[in-house]
Amino acid sequence: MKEDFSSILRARYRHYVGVKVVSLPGKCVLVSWLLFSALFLRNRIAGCESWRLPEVFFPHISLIRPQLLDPLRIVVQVFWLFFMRTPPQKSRTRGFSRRLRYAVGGAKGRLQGLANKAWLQPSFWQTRDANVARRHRQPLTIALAAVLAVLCITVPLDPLAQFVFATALFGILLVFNRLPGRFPQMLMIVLSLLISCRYIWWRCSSTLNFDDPLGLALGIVLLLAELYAWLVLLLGYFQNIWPLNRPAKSLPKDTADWPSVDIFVPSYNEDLEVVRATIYACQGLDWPKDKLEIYLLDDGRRDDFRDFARDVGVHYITRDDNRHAKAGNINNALKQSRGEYVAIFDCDHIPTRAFLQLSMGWFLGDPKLALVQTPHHFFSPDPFERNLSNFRKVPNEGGLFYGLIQNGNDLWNGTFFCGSCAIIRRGPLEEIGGVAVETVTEDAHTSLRLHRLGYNSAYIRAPLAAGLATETLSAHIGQRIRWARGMAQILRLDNPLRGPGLKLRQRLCYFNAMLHFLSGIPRLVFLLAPLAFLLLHTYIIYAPAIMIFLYVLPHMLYSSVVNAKIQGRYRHSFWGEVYETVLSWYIARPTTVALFAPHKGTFNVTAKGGLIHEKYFDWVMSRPYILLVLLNAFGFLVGLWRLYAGPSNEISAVLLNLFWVVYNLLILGGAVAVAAEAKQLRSDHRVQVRFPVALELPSGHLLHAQLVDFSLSGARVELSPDAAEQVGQQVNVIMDRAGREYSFAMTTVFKGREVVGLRLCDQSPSSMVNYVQCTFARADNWVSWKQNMSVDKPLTSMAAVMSISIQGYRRLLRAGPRPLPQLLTTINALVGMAKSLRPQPILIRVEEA
Amino acid sequence: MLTITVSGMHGGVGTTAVVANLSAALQQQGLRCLCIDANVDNMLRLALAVNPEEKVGWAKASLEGASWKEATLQHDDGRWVLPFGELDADELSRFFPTLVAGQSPLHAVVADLASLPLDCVLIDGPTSRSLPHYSLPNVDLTLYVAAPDAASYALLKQDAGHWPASNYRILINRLQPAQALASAIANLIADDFEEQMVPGVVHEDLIIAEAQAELASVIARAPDSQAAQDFQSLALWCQSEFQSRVE
Repeated sequence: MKEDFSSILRARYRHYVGVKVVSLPGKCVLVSWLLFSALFLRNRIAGCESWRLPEVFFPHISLIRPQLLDPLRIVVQVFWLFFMRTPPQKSRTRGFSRRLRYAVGGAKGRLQGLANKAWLQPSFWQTRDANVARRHRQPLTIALAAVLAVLCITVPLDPLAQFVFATALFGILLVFNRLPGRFPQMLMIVLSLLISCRYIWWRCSSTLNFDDPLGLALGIVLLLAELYAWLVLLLGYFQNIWPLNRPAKSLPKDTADWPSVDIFVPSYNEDLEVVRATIYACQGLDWPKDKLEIYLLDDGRRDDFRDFARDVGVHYITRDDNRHAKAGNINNALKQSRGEYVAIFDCDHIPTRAFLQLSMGWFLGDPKLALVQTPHHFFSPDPFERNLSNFRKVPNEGGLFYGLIQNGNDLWNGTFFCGSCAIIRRGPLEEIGGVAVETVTEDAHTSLRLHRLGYNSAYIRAPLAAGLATETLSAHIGQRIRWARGMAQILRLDNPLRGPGLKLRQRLCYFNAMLHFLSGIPRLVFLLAPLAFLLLHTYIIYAPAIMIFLYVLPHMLYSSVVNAKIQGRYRHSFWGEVYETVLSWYIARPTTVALFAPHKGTFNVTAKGGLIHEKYFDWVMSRPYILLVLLNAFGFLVGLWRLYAGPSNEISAVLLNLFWVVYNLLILGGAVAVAAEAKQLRSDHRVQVRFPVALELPSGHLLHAQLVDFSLSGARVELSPDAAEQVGQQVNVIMDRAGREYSFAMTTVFKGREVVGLRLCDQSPSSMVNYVQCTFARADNWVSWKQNMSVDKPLTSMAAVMSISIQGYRRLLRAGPRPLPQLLTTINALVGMAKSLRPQPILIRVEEA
Repeated sequence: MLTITVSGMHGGVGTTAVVANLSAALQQQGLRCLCIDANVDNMLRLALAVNPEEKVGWAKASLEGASWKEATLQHDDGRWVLPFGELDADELSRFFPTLVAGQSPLHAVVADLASLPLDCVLIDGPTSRSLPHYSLPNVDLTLYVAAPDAASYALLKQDAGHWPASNYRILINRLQPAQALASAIANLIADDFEEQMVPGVVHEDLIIAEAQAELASVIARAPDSQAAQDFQSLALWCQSEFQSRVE
């Protein structure tokens, strides 16, 4: 009995540790080698002991476990060792590369020296910028318009001249890229506009073939899509040319002068858990209690909401019907409240305690100010961030809008209402009849109406509230479809380019926002355009391939570099293409329908707070992309066939289109990668932070710890190993908030060497208010969110998109029907085998002879 | 040289513990510290691990006409302590008038200290009500230690307006946030005396008593504890206050 047991234990141990029993052939090989080296070889050869030679020089080959391709590996390694590996002494090539590096570094250093001049320092321009912005806003716009008008008259050049022109300007662009400040940025924008306008002019004037009807039709379609992209680029430059960076304005010292604020938290079908934290945080806002009224607007008429509102002491408003959804809900509550200002929060947007104090100041200075908007910040990852593991590494989709675009809008007084995290003055809101109900994007429409009546709006770019992002790709797309449809409806029903009350700059800002949502069809056109030539053999751009190359490449390069400079902190290059592609199919139809028949379509509420139990591939959502992938892959194969079998004068055109198809496949791969939904473990989201807390043990000892993440149900703390040992089952966590200390009873759920996971015990409502105040509503929570994010580097970003794309295709194959996962494993095995044939670097300790 | 007088709002708020551990934290941060016990009770020496049978002190030295320098003792971690001295009833009755007179012997002691290689002097003073009657030398900072109890709050409300020096600060000691009453009173004090509060509190932590029982400071005995952290933060704050006043 004992012997059986011990052999089982031994086998188990070997299995767990990973030690495999050596087979007989392996033993023979090893013994014969050892004998050979002992009898025939010197003690030390090439710096190491001779019996260790295989181990040192062939680290990827194991003598006792020979594998199939080992002879090939030995040959490759020997070849590499003898011919390619540089011995560790200096060589002439080393010196040359060093001198080259020094020369380049010197040039960079001189450029840096240039950048160190006083008039090139950011601080010099910042003070100047502030003064200039105030004085020169009007002439600035006129000057800009004049420059654009001049640039539109462009001259055609022959290929060599175009090449020289584009390259020279690119050099200047790169020089400007290094200089800090806004004026070099504006000059870069002018250069990019110059090149892009040239491109569009050339496309319109010399690339349409009027003889071939099919080519003409498809060519015009592509040209319209390019015109759309060019217009968006133009308007984008205009919109973001001078982000205002409005600071917070302080309120008067006497709180008696502070106005009364009503807080509306509309809700329809969300869980009570989601709304609870918001209400607790609202109760803890830093504002005189007699001037703050909190209203929970429940369109679902739920009993537990009513009981909760009564228990914590907030007002509860409900109505009999659900007409006009959220807009109707808010309008109903407007009639039943009286505060001078109305602050609206989505039910999952938790305000920090400083929200009102930082945003109300501007209202008091400007009686015409009707709206102050703050960013929608999310502490949970959206589908892109979760499925592509981008959370807190790459800015998310909303980062561009809330970081840059609204900020740029603010200069032109074009900030629009986004539905949440905003404060509206009651007078103007009632003047326009409450929140607009005619479209599904009621928020933008409301602010459009306010602007038409001559009121102003402001944007404060500090994240003062945070909420949950959409959980699944389908919910995310559903929300974007609603926004796109609503914007198209507004474009039809209340066109910002026409109608009274708006200044030109506000019209352009609104128009650009709506234009952005019409990107569905142009994006699809771009994804399918190369197939026109590869599959249908029609020339849609009627020009020699070399000319296309010389005009398109500068256009894309320049806009890429300029956008990286302007948007680098808010969006990394090429990610915008992925985001747009994912949405393109889905918003194409609703926006077209809404443009022609604005009153059709229903309001679908965004689902929030669902749990994904298992990871899965969202086939339903990704069907259109898979179709596009298949089309493009088919086009690629046909293109390869054309390369071999087609006429030789078409080769450049085929290559160009193949390039384009590969680019499309890359972007589509990113879109497919998003459809593979990652598993989401927790029902309540953890927010990562870092602040000090004290743990009070039942024995009366207090331990010092760092809180590293928290959620509504618990937290995780990091301690020294000695301290972690002392933590038992029960512990009180002492957190501070603005100098006040609060204690929360928690139980330990897991303990590591330096980390302890805690679950919050049941707390009274007032204690929960304090908890939310100490965690979610800390004023500085979201300020350092972007600290670990790097600024955009286009090439690095492209590499990231490429790797995501490859990952996307792998996920697609893995989740596919029968032969595909096996195909994927075969490809993986082949690639792995090829990689293992690579020569491995060796480490030798150089010892004294 | 930084000089601080620490005075409790009433007896038992933990003044001696604050002096002992604050000096340990300052010493750990690189300042050479001397603690002087200005209390007749002569309790500071027990918190600084002085042999209880040792009777030396500055008061005893003054009575016997000896130099106070011989009454200073050094702790293992480098801190110096100058106890009051063990006086019997007779000696106390002879000595007491000098304490409340215009020039108590401490003035001479502190004047002498300026020439010594010291960075910081902490005086463990009497309770806040007795403090004006003792003629203690002028210091850079007076630290009033309050416990989060009703008596401290009442005394603060009554007396804080009359305190002569503007360079005082109020420190809340022995705070247990889990206790509703203590938490409420601490918030009250913080609200009413916003500008005079020391940022940060010292929590009620059993380790302080345990460390004293083991004749060590909290910093040495339990560096991971919240109490150690509190005292280190307090020491840093004292240094920065001093720096900002010097400038």
